Amino acid sequence: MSTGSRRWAVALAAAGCLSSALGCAAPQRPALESLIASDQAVKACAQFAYAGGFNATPAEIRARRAGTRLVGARYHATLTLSVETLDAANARLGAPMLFGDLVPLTVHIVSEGPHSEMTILALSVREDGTRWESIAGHRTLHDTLGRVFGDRPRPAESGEERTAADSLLSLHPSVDESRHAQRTFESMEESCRSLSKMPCTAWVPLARTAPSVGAEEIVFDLRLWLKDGDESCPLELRHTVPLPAGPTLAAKLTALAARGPIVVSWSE
Amino acid sequence: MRLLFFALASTLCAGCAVSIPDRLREGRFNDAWDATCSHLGRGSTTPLTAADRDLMRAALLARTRVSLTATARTPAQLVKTLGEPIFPPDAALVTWKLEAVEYPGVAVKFEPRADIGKAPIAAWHEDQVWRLAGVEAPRNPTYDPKFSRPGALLDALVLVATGGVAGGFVKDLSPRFRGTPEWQPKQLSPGSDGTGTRVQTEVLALVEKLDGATCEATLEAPCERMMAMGLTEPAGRPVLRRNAKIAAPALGGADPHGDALIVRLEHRRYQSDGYVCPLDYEVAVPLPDGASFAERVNKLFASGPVWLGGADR
Repeated sequence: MSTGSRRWAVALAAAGCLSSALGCAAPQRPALESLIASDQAVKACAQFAYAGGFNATPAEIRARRAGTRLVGARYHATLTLSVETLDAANARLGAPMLFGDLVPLTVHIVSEGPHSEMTILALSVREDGTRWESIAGHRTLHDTLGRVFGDRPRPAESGEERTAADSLLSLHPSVDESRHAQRTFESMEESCRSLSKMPCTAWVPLARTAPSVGAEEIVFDLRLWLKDGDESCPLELRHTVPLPAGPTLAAKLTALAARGPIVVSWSE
Repeated sequence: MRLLFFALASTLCAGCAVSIPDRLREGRFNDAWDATCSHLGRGSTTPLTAADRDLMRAALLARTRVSLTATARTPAQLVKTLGEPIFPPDAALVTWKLEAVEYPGVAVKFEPRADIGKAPIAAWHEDQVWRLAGVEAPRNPTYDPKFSRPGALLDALVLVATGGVAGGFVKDLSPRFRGTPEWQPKQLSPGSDGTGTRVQTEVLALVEKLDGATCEATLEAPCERMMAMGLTEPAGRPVLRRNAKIAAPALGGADPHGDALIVRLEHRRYQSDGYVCPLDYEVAVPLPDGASFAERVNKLFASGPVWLGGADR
């Protein structure tokens, strides 16, 4: 082997080592625990909250959950449920918009911890063979869904009631009164943001949106925004509570509400 | 010189020309997945061998823990709650749920079917539900302009003669050139109310809409889907999702030897260049005895979810 080619081989090997050192070695990051201890929760959260984005692998999702438990240990929220009658909901709307198998639910949220704000991303219930979600944004005929997939016999609706319920679901009110009520409805339905020292109440009119298999439960998808100056980071949590027994969804939710507030911890 | 050659070869060709079994043996599962995809791609000149196909399928299954649950409603049950028949007596409305605990890639999709004797049962997706029910769907009135061939030729001549400059004008003028009397075309196809009863039309529209929602199971959320399932034979054409691959799954499937529920699983993963490389295969689960497909499905899932992953089978 000539001296020249040996030099080339050494240079090539050195380049390989350098490139692998630059490309493959993971940058050293401070441990989550030390960031949390030094009150840098946003920095700690940013280490795992966005891993994988919408295409996260199971390993990335597990890492996110473990990180959320660590960082979220100081945060919790109290959710107080209350079921409204259709008459009371219609009185608040100022028009008889809600009929039949709808369940207006209110959720009063108080969140605690050194954070900025908390949001209910979604609230859904599995009951009677179907999923129930907020009525807004869904064009599904909830009554037909109940007849096809549910197990309870549905009370028959008059033609007038059906037309009014359909117009609400299709979000195309036909008269001015409905339009005004529709606006009221949408403003009440807005997702609730609970600032750390400002509790709020979310109004969620539940309707059947799809068939669903499994245990009867209510699912809260919550997001806690941690903030530090201009930086922010979301901690997401899915909290599930089994539904008690009862003849209807309204009765089950009323029984659940009677048990007292639901306490949710981000360390769960 | 030999040293230089080896250094060059190892730097430039690290990992290439290593077989799928070797990659799997070395624990380089994603590399084996990429290599499988490169064999399955359109431009591939070397097809995947049967041995590699079996190995990759086994490796995928061994890393997968997904469970399936279902509940089926028979046409007779529907008559009870709706007051009139919607589907033929041998069909079923099935709600499926796929939950994923462990899986390679980022998500798992599924498509069930059943082999019962010589009668294949599959999902009639989206607007096919109307055909399964033997009902004509309502059609909305639509704009249907008259087409005049001489008028269109004239449009083309004007465009060519003006070097395309008249394009904007032709858009406005063409109805006149074509002999359409109205300046603003108003001709509509009349549409129709369909041939179903009000209840049939309402239910079928709902089923069509619900089936159109595609989903994938991940660790964060299960995939729940409703499907109208029935015999594929009476219609005389294969019932597969529109735009679906008609071909057999890339990695094949198990031979059920008897009546079985067959679930096609598809794992999705992004490669480093952003390309989505799905791998699919079929898993067969023997069906218990029963009077109808719906009854057999309900029996199969009566005691809880059925695990489809390799570790639990």
